[in-house]
Order: sequence, then structure tokens, then C-alpha cells
Amino acid sequence: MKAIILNTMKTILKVMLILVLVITLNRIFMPKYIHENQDGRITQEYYPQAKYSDVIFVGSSTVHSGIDPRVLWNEYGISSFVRANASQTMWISYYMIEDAIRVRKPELVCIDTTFIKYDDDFVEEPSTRKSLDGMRMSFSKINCIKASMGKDEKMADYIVPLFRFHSRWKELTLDDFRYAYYNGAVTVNGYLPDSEVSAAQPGELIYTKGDDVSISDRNREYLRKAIELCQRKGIQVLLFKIPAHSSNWSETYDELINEIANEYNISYINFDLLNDKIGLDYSKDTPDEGSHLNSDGAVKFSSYFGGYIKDRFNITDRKNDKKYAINWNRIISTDPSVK
Amino acid sequence: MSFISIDFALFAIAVLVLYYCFPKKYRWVILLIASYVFYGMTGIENFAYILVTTVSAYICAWLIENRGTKQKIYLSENKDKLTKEEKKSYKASVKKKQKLILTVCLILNFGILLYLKYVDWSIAYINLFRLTYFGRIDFIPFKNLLLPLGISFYTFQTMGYLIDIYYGKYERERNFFRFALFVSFFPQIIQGPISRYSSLAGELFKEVLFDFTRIKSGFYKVMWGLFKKLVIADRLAAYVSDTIAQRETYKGLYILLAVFFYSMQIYGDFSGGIDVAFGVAEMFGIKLAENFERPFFSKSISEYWQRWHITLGTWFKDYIFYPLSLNKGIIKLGKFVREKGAESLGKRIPIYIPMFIVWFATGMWHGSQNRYLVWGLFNFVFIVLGTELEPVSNKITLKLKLKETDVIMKTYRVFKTFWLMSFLRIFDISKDVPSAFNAFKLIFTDWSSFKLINVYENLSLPKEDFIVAVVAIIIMFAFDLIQRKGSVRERIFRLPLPAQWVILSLLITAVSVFGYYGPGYDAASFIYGAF
Repeated sequence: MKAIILNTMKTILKVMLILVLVITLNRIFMPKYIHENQDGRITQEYYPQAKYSDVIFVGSSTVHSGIDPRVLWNEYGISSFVRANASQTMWISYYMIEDAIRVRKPELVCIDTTFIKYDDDFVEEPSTRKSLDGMRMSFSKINCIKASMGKDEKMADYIVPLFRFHSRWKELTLDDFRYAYYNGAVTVNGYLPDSEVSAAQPGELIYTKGDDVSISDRNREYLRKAIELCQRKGIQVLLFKIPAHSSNWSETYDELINEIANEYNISYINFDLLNDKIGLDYSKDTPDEGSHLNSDGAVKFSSYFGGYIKDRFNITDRKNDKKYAINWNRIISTDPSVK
Repeated sequence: MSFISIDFALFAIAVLVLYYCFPKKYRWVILLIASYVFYGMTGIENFAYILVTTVSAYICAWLIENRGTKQKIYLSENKDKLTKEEKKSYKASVKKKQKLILTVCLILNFGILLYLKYVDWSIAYINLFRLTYFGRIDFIPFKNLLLPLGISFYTFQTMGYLIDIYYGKYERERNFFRFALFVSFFPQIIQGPISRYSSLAGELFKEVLFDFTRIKSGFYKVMWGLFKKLVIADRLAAYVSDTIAQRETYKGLYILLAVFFYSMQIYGDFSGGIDVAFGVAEMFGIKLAENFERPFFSKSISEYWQRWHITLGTWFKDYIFYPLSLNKGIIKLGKFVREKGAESLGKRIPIYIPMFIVWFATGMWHGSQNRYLVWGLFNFVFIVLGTELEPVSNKITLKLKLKETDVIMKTYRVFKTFWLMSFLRIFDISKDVPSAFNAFKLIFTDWSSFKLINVYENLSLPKEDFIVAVVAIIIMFAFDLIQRKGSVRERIFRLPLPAQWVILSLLITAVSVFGYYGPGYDAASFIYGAF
């Protein structure tokens, strides 16, 4: 009997050692997203902050560059996290919400609808990778992989990223070892400030109505799923479109999204229509001719958005909560970007 | 489902768990189901072929044995009534019937194999004949048939079994499902080894206890196989094909290097695949026949073929070479030549004619292109030359005051055999016979133009990959050398635990990091899987 127990323990130890080896190799070979493509850190940086995240923002790069949670905290006592990676599709956003709820139920989920205009077959492996590689293993992750991966991609390559990234052995640097187990923050609760300025073309942004504009079935399906999930869990939901000085939007999208919002009795707001109230100036507040907001633009928009949320939603003011205050003081006092 | 896939790993683990959860007596049933599921995953239409082979061999084995049993009963019942002549004549008639049954089954199964492999090759020649002699341009369309997975391997294995039954070497398998497992056992169906019923059946149906050491040992073997396949073979594949394709630009040493690398590639690919099969089977407590015995250390071509793809070589030897050597017609021919005064030639006829046929068949087995036939015939010529020139070679050795046991002689013979076999493989990597001769000719030109930078930048083997390949090849040879003194795995298991862990960690790291797999690499399918 003793021998059986000893052998079993030895076997378990051996299997565990193999796992440790594989996990370490995974960590070494995965891109670190420390000095560039930092949005690849957003997903994993949520978990240590989950217990402080009353408001979750999901969307794409426009959201992680346009919403500064520090402003929301400083001005309104709102504790929030931005779960928005570059080119994050509606289905990934859905699983970001599901995964966030799995860890800790927020009070409000704000869904940016900018990416709703993309096709059902939109696949961009680097973006999917950046969204998913940092996600903890769960059914949400498995389902998200299934929903997001391209035809030639394999589930196993997402579950064991080493299978995907082992070819990086030729380009490994000291940083790959130094940051293999790095758990510090590179983003400000998902926010990635950009101080560059590149003015947009002058002139007022005018949307047109288009007959050929529609929301694809898959985008519609996942937007509905996200709303239903939140409502089922008793979480408030807001649909919004983050400001951008880009002509690839249409009033028809607003109408179609409004239809869905009305169906679920929730709000939808396109902040492009409130530029003057927000005070955005696209000759100064954008790093790329209007596609995204820079840090000045993000401060202006976050300030306005915080007020909007505070007025319309029931969000706990955490200003006087010691634990929250300590956490936010630490975030604010730390230089977020190791650029 | 490829051996080199997570799907296969998960499949094997699932079967392994089920296998050891099942009562010992019925574990083979799990293997049978798994083998058919595995085979089904390669294409449901392939079932028809393997079923025809299984059913036809099972029925014919039964018919052959049945005739033998009836003969025994008849002879024992009529022991006193029959004269010696009558008994002899009765036995001959039974043997004739058994032979007929065997022949029908062999024709059916080898017919299917030949048809699938050679139908397009035949059509090409028929079209050429019609065009040349009748000016017909209404070409017969090609069939473009896909070879069912492992058809060469299971056909040879099953027909070997039937021939053994015909010769009464052992009793037939009475349980159809057990026999079906013998034909389809999944770890060996892709590229062998070609097992014998007498050894494999005992392994498949014995009652096995769970043993972690065996699982560990099998895992090591699988990882070693993957190392050879993914780190060496697949890394070299692009350089070999690129160099042969651009041989007019990159000639001389570039081609020589490609020839060397192809030897490493095919050894890594084939023996690596066999190691994976061997390791997986070992985890089920099943020992497969060895297919390689350090072939690159052979001192002659004959020895090489006793150490490379051993199970195919012994199959041809047992089922073609020996029966033909003992064939009355060939013996008579030898006798006739001897009587005509050509004593030496007469003695050689019963050896060389069967050998010629064996090498012709080996060429055919490898593929339906002329280059494989030429490759087979060159092997025959080299073996004959090696035998015939042995006295001359011995005289030279004697004159140089060298002995066969001297290191220099051994090294020379190993070197010579390795390069002869490597040069023959040019037929394997060239698209046709003229291209192969052209590539061979180009080896001996323009050596001065060789620059490693071209290997790195223009021939798909970047510097880092080149270094990894060379180091991995050295490791592979070092292991082969160590293996001469006994099993490497047993040596590893005798080491202290930390040392074992270091070796296993290095192996896992080498395969998972330096392996040519995944996006951007795409593990090539096994070369021998196509034969």
C-alpha cells in the first residue's frame, strides 16, 4: 500500500513538473507586450483589478485610448476597467464581459458599438491573440477561441501558446525571460494613453444614411447575448459609440442600434453627436487624424462620460472606501507605461 | 489524423485511459474500436479497402486450413486403405486447391494495391503508345485515385500472414475481430512496421497490467521520434527540395549537402515515425518489431538493407526471395547453365534472379514512377558488384596490409556504404530519372562557388536553423552510437532522478521549441506514409 501511495505521488510530481516546464516555456515564448503592442496586456491585467471594477468598458482600440479610468475615479469616484483590445470584435467583447462577470460581477457594463460595422468573417490573428492570450482558462475562453479563430488556426495553439510562438526562439531577447512571469501593470486599468497629436482634416463630421448599411447577423447576435447576459445577472448596460472623427459611420447604424437598445429598454448614445458639449477639438485631441483620441482627448471625454454615467446609472461612489482609495492612489502614483 | 498533431495525442491518451479502465481480457476490443475510429478519420471511403483485405484474408485462411484439416481426417480414416501413391496424389490435389485459394487472395489484394498505385502510370504509357503509333490525341483521362492510408503496409502484413498459413507455420486466427485488429492496429498502420502475426498477435492479445515505467518509456520513445521528425527531418526538407529544384544555379557542394541532408531527413522522418508508433504501442504494453538498427553504420549495402526498414526487407526475403530461390524452374535453369560449363554463373542464378525480382518489387513498392524502379535496380547492381568484386577488394586490403577489423577499414566501409546509399536517394528526390542523373552529374562541378550565405538566404535553411539541424544530427548519431551498447532509455532510467528530469526536460524543450510545426512551419506528412 505504501509503495502504491509513493508511486502515485511520484507520478503526480512528475506530471506536475512537466506542466511547470510547459507553462514556463509558454511564458518565455509568448510575446510580452511590455514595450510595444501594450494592449496585449489589457486582458490579463484585469484579474488583479477585478475586485475594484464596478464599471467595465468593452470595445476596441478607440476605447482603450479614449477612456481614462483615472479621470472617472478622481472626478466621480467611479472605479472602472477598460477591457478593450485593438480590433476587438463584438463576439470577443461578449466573452470579455462573460469572463469579467465570472470573476466579479460589475455594476455597469458599457459596450462600445464602433466595431459592430465589421463583417462576420472579420479575423485578425494578432488582435485575437492579444485579446485571448492573457485570458485565464475557462469555458468562456474556450468558447471565445472557437468564436474568434480563423479557418487555419487551431484551438490547441491558443490553449498552449507555445505551439504558436515557439518559432520565436530565434528572436528571443533578455526581456522575454525578464518578463516571463511579470504581473505588474503596463496599462492604466486597460487605458493606454497616447500623447501624440496629428490633427484631423478640418470641418464638421457629417454622417450619411446608407441603404446598404446593416448590422450583420453575428454582430447582432453577440450584442444581444451581451445585453441579455448582463440583464440576467442584474447588471446595468449602456450601449455607446465613442467619439472619433471618422466618416465610416452612418446614421443608419445609430437607428439599428437604437432599435436593439429600445427592445431591451436600455440606452444607446453616440458621443460623436456631443462633440461640442464634450469639448473635443480634433485639431489637438487626436494622435491619428481623428481615428482615436489622444490623452488630452481622453481626459475630456472621460470627464464628460463619467458625469453621464453618474447621472443616469446607479454606481457606488467609492471615494470613501479605503481599500479602493489605496488601490487608486497606487495606480495614479505609478507611472503606468513602461515605455 | 496525423501522428504529429494534438488531435492524435488526445486520441492516444483517451484510448490509453479507456484501455486500462477495461478488464484485461477485453482490452484488445478497445484497440480494435480505436483502430477503426482512427482509420475512419482518414476517410470513411477507405474502410472498403481495409475490409476487403481483412475479410478476404480471413476467409481464405479458413479455407486453406479447412482443406488441411479435411486432408488429415481423410488420411487418418483411410490410413490402411490408401496406397502410398494414392496418399501422395491426394496430398498434391489438396495442396493444389490450397494454392489456388492463396493465389486468388494474393491476386485480389495485390491487384487492388497495384491498381491504386499504378493505374495512372499505366494510363500515361498507354496514352504515349497510342500517340506514338496511332497519332491518337484523345487521351484516356487519369483516375487520380488517392491511396488509402497504409494500404501497402497492411496488405503486405496480411498477405504475409496468409502465406504463413498456407505453409502451415502456425494456426489461423479464428476470431474475426481479433484478426481485424491484427490488420488495423492503429499505431503501425501509417508507416509500419510490417509485423508478423506470430509475434504481433501474442503482443496484442496478452493481458497487460498498468505499469507507469512502461508509459514513461513509451513517452520517451515518442518524444525521441518527434525530435527526429520535427527537429531534423522537417527542418531539412525545404533545403533539399529547393536545392534540387535550383540545381543548375546551386550545384556542386550544394547538391552534395542536399544529398547528405536528405539521408538525414528520410532517416529522421521514417525512423522518427516508427519511434512514435513504437512508443505509443509500448504504452499499451505492445512491443512492435524493430525496423531500424543504426543503418548508417552498415559496412556494406547488403548489411544496410538488413538494418534499414528491416520488416520490409525480411518480408521480401521470406516471401519472395526464398520461395523463388527454391523454385524448381530457377534451380533447373541454374543446373542447365552449370552443365553448359558456366559453373560459376550457374551457382549464382538461384540467387541473382530472385534478388533482381526482389529489388524490382522493392522499387515498385516505393512508388509508381520509373525513378523508383531505377533506384531498385541500382541497389541490385551495387549489391551484385559488391559480392562479385569482394575478392578484388580483399586482395587490395591484403596488399595495403590492412585487416577488416582495423578502424580505418571499418570507417572506410561505413563511409562508402553511407555515400552510395545517399547517392542512390537522388532518385527519390528528383522528379524523374533524367533529372536524377543530371543532379548526380552536377555534384561534381563548380565546388568553388559554394557559399554558406546562399544556404542561409537562398535555400530555405537560415543560419540558426542550419546550426540547430547540425547539432541535432550530431545528437542523433551520438544516441545511435550509445545504442550499440544497449537501450539508451534503460541507461537513462538507471540515472539519478534529477538527471532523468534534466534529460526529459531537454527533450521536451527541444521538440516543442525547435520543432518544425505549427503556423509558419507546418509539419510535413511522413514520407513513408505515401508508399
